[in-house]
Amino acid sequence: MTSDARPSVTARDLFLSADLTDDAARTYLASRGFQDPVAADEHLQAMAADLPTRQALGAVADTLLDALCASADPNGALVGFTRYLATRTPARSFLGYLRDDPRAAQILTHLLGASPSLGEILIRNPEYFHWLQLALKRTPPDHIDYHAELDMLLASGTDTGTRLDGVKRFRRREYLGVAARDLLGVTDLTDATRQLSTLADVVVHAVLRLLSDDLCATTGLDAAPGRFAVIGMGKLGGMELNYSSDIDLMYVYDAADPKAPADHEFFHKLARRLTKALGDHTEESYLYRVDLRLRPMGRHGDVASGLKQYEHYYETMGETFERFALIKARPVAGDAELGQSFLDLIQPFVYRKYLDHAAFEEIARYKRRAEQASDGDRNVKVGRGGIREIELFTQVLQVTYGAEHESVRSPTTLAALAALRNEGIIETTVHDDLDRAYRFLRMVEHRLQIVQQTQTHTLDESPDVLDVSARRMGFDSSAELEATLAAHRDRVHMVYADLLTPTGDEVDDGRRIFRLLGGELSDAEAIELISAYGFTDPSDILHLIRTLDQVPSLAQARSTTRNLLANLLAELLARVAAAAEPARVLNRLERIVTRSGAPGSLYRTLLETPMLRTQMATLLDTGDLLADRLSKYPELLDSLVAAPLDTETHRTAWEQVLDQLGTRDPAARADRVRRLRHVEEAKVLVEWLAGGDLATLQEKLSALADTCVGRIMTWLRQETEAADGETEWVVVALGKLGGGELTVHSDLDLVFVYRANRGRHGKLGDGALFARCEVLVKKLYRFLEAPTSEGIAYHLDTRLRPDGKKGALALPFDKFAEYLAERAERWERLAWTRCRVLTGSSALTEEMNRLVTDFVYGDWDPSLPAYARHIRARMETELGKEQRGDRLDLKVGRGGLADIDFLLQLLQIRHGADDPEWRVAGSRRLLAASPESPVLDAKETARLRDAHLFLRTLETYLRIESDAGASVLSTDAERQRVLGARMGLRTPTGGTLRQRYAEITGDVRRIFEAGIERLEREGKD
Amino acid sequence: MTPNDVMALIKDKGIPAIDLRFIDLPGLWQHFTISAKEFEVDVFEEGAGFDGSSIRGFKQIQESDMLLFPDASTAFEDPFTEHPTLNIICNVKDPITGEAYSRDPRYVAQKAEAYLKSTGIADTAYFGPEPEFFIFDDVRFSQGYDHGFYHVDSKEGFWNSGREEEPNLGYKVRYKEGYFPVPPMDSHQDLRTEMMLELEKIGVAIEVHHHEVGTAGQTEIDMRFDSLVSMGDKLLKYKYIVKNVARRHGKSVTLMPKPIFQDNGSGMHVHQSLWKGGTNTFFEAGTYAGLSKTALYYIGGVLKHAGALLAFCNPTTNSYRRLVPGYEAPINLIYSSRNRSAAVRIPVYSGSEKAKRIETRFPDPTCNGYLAFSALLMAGLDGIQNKITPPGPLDKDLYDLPAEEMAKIESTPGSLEESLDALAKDHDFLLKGDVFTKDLVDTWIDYKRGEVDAIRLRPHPWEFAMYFDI
Repeated sequence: MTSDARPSVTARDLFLSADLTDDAARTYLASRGFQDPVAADEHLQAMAADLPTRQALGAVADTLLDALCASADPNGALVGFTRYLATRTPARSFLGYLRDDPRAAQILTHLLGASPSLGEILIRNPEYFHWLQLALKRTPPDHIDYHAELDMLLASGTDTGTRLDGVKRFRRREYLGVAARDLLGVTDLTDATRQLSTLADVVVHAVLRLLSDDLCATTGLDAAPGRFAVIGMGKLGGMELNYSSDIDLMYVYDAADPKAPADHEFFHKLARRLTKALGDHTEESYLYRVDLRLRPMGRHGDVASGLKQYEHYYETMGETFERFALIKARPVAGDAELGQSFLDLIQPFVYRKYLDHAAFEEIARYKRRAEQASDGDRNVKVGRGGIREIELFTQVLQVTYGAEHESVRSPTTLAALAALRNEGIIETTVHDDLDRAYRFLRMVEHRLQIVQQTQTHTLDESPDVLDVSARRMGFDSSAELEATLAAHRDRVHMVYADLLTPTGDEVDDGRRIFRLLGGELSDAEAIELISAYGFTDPSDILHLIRTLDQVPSLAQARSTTRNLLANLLAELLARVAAAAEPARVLNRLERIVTRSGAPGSLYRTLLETPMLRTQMATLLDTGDLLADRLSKYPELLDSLVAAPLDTETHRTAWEQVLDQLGTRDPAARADRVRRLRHVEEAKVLVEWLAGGDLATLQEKLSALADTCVGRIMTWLRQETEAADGETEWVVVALGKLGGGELTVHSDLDLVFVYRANRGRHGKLGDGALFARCEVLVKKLYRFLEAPTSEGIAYHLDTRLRPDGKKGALALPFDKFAEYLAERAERWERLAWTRCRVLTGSSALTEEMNRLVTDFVYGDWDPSLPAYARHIRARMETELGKEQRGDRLDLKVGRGGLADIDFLLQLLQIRHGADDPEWRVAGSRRLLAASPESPVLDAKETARLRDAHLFLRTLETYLRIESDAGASVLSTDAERQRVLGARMGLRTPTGGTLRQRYAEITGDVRRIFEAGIERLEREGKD
Repeated sequence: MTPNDVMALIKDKGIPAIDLRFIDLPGLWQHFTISAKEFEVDVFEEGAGFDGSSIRGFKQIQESDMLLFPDASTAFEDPFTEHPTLNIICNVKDPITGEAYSRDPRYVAQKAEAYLKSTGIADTAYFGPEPEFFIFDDVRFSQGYDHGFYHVDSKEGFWNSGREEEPNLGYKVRYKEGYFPVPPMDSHQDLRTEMMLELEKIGVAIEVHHHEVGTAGQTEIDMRFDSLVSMGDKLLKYKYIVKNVARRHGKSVTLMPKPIFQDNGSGMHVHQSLWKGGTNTFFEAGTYAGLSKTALYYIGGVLKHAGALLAFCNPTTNSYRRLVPGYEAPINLIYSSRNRSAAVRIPVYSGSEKAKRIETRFPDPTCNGYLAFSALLMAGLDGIQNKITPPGPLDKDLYDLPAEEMAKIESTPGSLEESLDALAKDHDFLLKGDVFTKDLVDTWIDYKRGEVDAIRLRPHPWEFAMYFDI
C-alpha cells in the first residue's frame, strides 16, 4: 500500500466526507482488511439512517473500524454490529458510549467476529452487553454463585414454564460470559470447559428440583418418595464440556419403598420430564441436547434405574465400551450421596485386577474402524491424531492401571494424563506432548463450535473460510494453522499407535489368547500359539480351549468372561501342558466351568489365587473324582488352598454339621450326609495330594465314616425304639475301616450286635425285638446306600457277620458269643484281628472286645498257615485273574496287599496271645508299631511297610483317577506312564512304575512265602 | 380443540373410530385406528404405541417400539369413511425416555418455529404453498425384466382429440393451454369446487381454484397461508382430500411433478413472510417491490442455500424433469418481481403490507412439507442473520437473454443426485438451534440416494429410441 494513493481517506470520511467516491471508500475498506468491501460499505452506510446517527458514526468511526478490523472476521463482525446497533435506540447514544469507551467497542467486535452465535445472544438481549462488561471485571462465577442466582430466579417465577424460560435466559447469559472470557483470553481452555460444565451441573440440578417439586405437588406428595441423582458422562462427566456438547446423562434413583410401583413410576416420570425440560425447544430456545444412550441397554433401557439394577447390569451385561464410558461418570445433580454410591458401585466394573485384553482389543477395533473413515484429516475430533486418540490412549491406560493406582481414575482427560505421568506409567515427554496437543485440539474445536454453536469438528476445506477460522484461533493464516495442527496430530498419532502396536515377543500371551478366542487368529496361528506351550496335541487343545470359551454365561457379558479366560489360560497353559494328560485336564476344567454356570466368577477366583490355580491344574490331572466333586460342589474351591486340619479338628466339625441335622426330615438328612461325605472326602484327598501322608488320609477318612455311621445310628435308634435305652448296641468295624485304612470308595465292613437292656426289656418278646433290630439295620443300609440326587453315602458290607450272607443283620450278643465259640470258621480269626468297635454302649463294648480278643488270640492253631496259604492261592487265581496278562491286582494279586495282611494276621494270632503289642487292628498300624517277631526280621518288616505304603498309595491314585472302587492296575504302558507321572515317577515309558511294582510285589511274595514256611516249620519243630 | 374437546366430540357425535396419523420421512401419512371404546383421554398424555421399524426412514428393526402423541388441535372428521371417523395428527416419541423423535418431520417443524422465536427476528413464519396436480382417468405402469412403460389417460387430454368416443365432443385442452378457458373446455370445475368445499369443511381455508396450464386436468387449488407447523398439517390434509375426492368420482390424482412429457409439470410455489408483533417484517413502503431489507436478506439466504434446499423441496428424481428450461421452470437463482423463471419471485399484485411476501418457486408437491418449509425458513434466517444480499433483481425475460449473459446466472441443481451432494456439503445452516440434526440430514441423504440408484438401475424407454440401433 502506498501512502499517496489515498492519503486523505480516514474512517471518519466514510460517514462524513462529502466527496468520497464509492470506489475510494471500497479501496480503503479493502486495505483495512474487509474481505468484501462492497458489502462492508453498504452495511456501514445503512447504519447511518439519519443525520444525528451519521454524525455519531463519524465520531466513533476510527475506534469502530480499528476494532472491527482487529476481529477475526471484519465483515462478519460488521454485520453483527449493524444488527446489534439496530437494537439500541437511539443508536447515537450507544455510539457515543463506544466512542468514550474504546475497550467496549473492542470487546463487542471481538465477540461478534469470533462467534455469530454470541452475536445472536447479544442481539436478542442487548442489555447483556453491559452485564458482560461488569462480569468481565469480576472473578468468574463458581457453582455457589450460579446456585445463588438460580435460587433467586426460581423463587420469583410464577409457573414451571416461565421459570424454565428464566433458567434458559440465565444459562444463555452465563454461556455468553464464559465464552467472552474465553475468547478475550481472560480464562484458559480448561477454565472455560470447567465453567461450562459447572453451569450445566447447576442448571440440571435446578431444573431437577423444580420438576421434582412440581411432580410432588401434582401427585399429592409432600416429598419425593426416595432419592434421585443425575450422573454426568462424557464431556460433562469429565468437566470438559464444549460450547456445543450434548450432555450425556444417566439417572439413578433409590425408591423409598422398592416394592411400591408408584415410587418407581414417580422417578421414571421425573426422569422423562427432566429430559424433556432440558431438551425442549421453546421461544427461549433449549437448555441442552440430552443424550441418554449410555444408560444400561442403550435406547432400550429404562430411562432411570435403581442402584441394584445398575449393579446387576454391569455385572452381567456390561460391555467394554461401557467401562470406558464409565471412567467419565460423575454425579452432577440431585442427591449427592446417592451419586457417590453409584460411583462406588461401578469401580470394580471399570477397574479390574486382571490385565485387560478386552480393553486393548476394543481400542484396536476402534482404531481399525477410525482408519477406514474418510474425512479423517479434516476432523479434529475423530480424525487421525485427533482428540479421540488422546482420550482413548488415556482411557485404555486408566482401565489398565486404575485398579492398582487409584489416582489415575480421574474423569478429566488432562488430570488423568498427569496422574499417569506421576505414577510413572507414561513418560514425561509423552505427557507433555499429549497435554499440549489436547489443549490445542480442544481450542480448535471450541473456536469452530462457538461460531454457530453447532457440533462441528471439521475444518472447512475452502481457503477463505479456513482463513477466518485461523484468525479466530489466533493464527495469521490458514497455512500456519494447518502446520501447527499437523505437528500435533503426527505426534498424537505416533504415541497412540505405539500403545497398540506390540513389538516382537512383547505381545502378551493373554492378549494373543484373547484374540484366539475372538476368532481373530487363523487356525495355523492358533496351533502355533498353542504348540509353543509344549502341547503335543495342539489341535485337540485348541478345540478344548474353544469349547471352554463357548461355555454360556448367564451372569456375565461375553467379553468380560473371555477376558478372564484369556488371562487364566495365559497363567495356566504351561502348567497344563506339563500335566500327565493335558487334554483331559482341560476337558475336566470345562466340565467344572459348565456346571458352575458362572464361568467368569470361577475364572476370577482362579486368577485371584495363584496357589489355587496351581492346585487346580494338579488336581484335575489326578482324574475324574476331584473334577466331578469340584463341579458338583463349588464350595470345595476354597478348601483347595486351605491349611490342612488334623483329624480331630475335622471330626469336631463333622459332628457339628451332623448334630444340626438331627431334626431335619429324613430325605433332607440323607442328602446332607451324602453331601458331607463327598465334600469332606474331597477335602481330605486334597490335603493328601498337597503333600499329606497316606496314614493321615486313611485316619481321616475312617474318622469321617465313623462319625457318619455313629450319628446315623443314634438318629435311627431314637426314631425306632419306643423308649430310650431299650437296647444296647455295638457296631463293629472290620476290614479297612476296622484297621483305620479306609481309602476312597472303600466299603464299610460292619457287624451289628445288640443286647436287650436288663430291666427295661420285657414289653417285647425276643422275636419282636429281633425283628425291630433287623429293621433298624436295614434302615441304616437304606440311609447309606439308597441313591439320591446326591449319590450314595457309603456301601456297606456285612458279609463278615456271623454266618455271612445267610446270617442275621443284627445279632443278639449272646447269639454272637455262641457263634464265635461254636461255629466260627478258622479264617474268621484272621478277619476279626481288625475288629474295632465303632460305636456302642460302654458295657457292651467292653464285653465285645473281651469276647473277640478271646476268640482271635486264643490257642494257636498250627494248621492256620497252610490254610491261609491255600485260601490266599485261591484268591489269587480266582479273584486276581492276573494270569490274563492285562491286569495287576493290587489287593489279591501276587505279592499284593492280601499277602501282607494274611501274613501279618497270622503273626498276630501266633504272638498276640502272649504279647498284647500284637493286638493291633490293621496292617498299617501294626507295621508302624512293628513289634518284634521271631518269624520276621526287621528288614523284612521294613520292606513290608514300604510295600504296604506303595500299594495303598497306588490304589488311592487309581481310585481318584477312575472315581470308582477298583484296585486293579492296567498293564497298558500309557496308563502306567500316566499313573507313574502322577505318583512322581515321571518317565516317558512308564517303566519305572512297572519295575517298582514288580520289585515290590516280588519281595512281598517272597516274605509271605518265607513267613508262612517259618510258621509251619515252627509248628513242626 | 383440547383433549377434552376431542373426547366430548367423540361422545356427542357417537364417533366409533379414532384414526391416528403421523408422517413418515419421505412425507406420506401413515395411520392406524383405535376403537372409541379404547380411546381415553390418557392417550394425549401417555401416547399410543406402534412398531416403527418398517416406517420409511425411521428406526432399525431392533429398535422399533415408538409412541404416538396425538395433537388434539389437529382433529378433524374424515369426509370419506362410511363409518364416522375422527382423524388426529400425531407426534412421534421415544417410548422409554419420552424424548421427541429426532426424525419425526413434524418435530423438526416445531423446532423451527421455536428457533424462529428464539432469534427474536420474528415470532411467526407464514407459509402459503400452491400445490399443483393432475387428475387422470386412467394410469398404468410396469417395469420388469423384459419391459418398461407407463401410460396415463384423461378425457381432457389433447392426444384424445381424434379418438372414437361415440361421440367425441371435442373440447380437449390443447397442450399448455389449460390456463384457463371456461367450461366446457375446463371439465373439472365441479370436481375442484367439491375439493374446495371438503377442504373448507375440515378447516383448510381455500382462496382460489382453477385449471392449470397443462392438458389432462392439471389443477391448482390454493390454500390461505398459515403458520409453519399448521401449514405442514394442512398440506397433508390437502393431499388426502384431493386424492380421495377424485377417487370418489372414479378419477385419480397425482402430485408427481412431471407425469406428462412435453407439457407443464406440477410445482408447489411456496409463499413466505415473517411477522413480528403483528407486523410484516417483509414489507417496507417505497422500496423495490415493497420489500424490506429483512425480506431481501431472507431471499439472499434462500438463494445461497438453494442447492441444499432442493434436496428437501424437490426430493424426487421426477422433480428434475420439471426443473428444465422452458415450462416456466424456476431454475435461475435470482429474484424478480415479474419473471417466472426466477427461483424467487415477489408477486407484484401484492402491494399491501398484509400481502407482502416472497414466493419460492422451485419446490414441488412431492416434498415433505414440514421439512421443506423448515429448511426454507432456516435458509432465510441465515440470510437475515448474515445480511446476505441476493444478486440484484432481474426483470428481463430470462429466456431471451443471450447465452453469454445467461451463463453468469447460477441455476438450481439439475438432478436429485446433485441436490443431495449440495446438501451434504451445505447443511450447517439447518443445524442451527438444533432444528435439523446431523442424523436426520444423513438419513435423508442416504434414503434419497437409494431412489437415485433405483432409477439408475433401470433402462428407460427412450434409451431404446436413441440407442437400440447403435
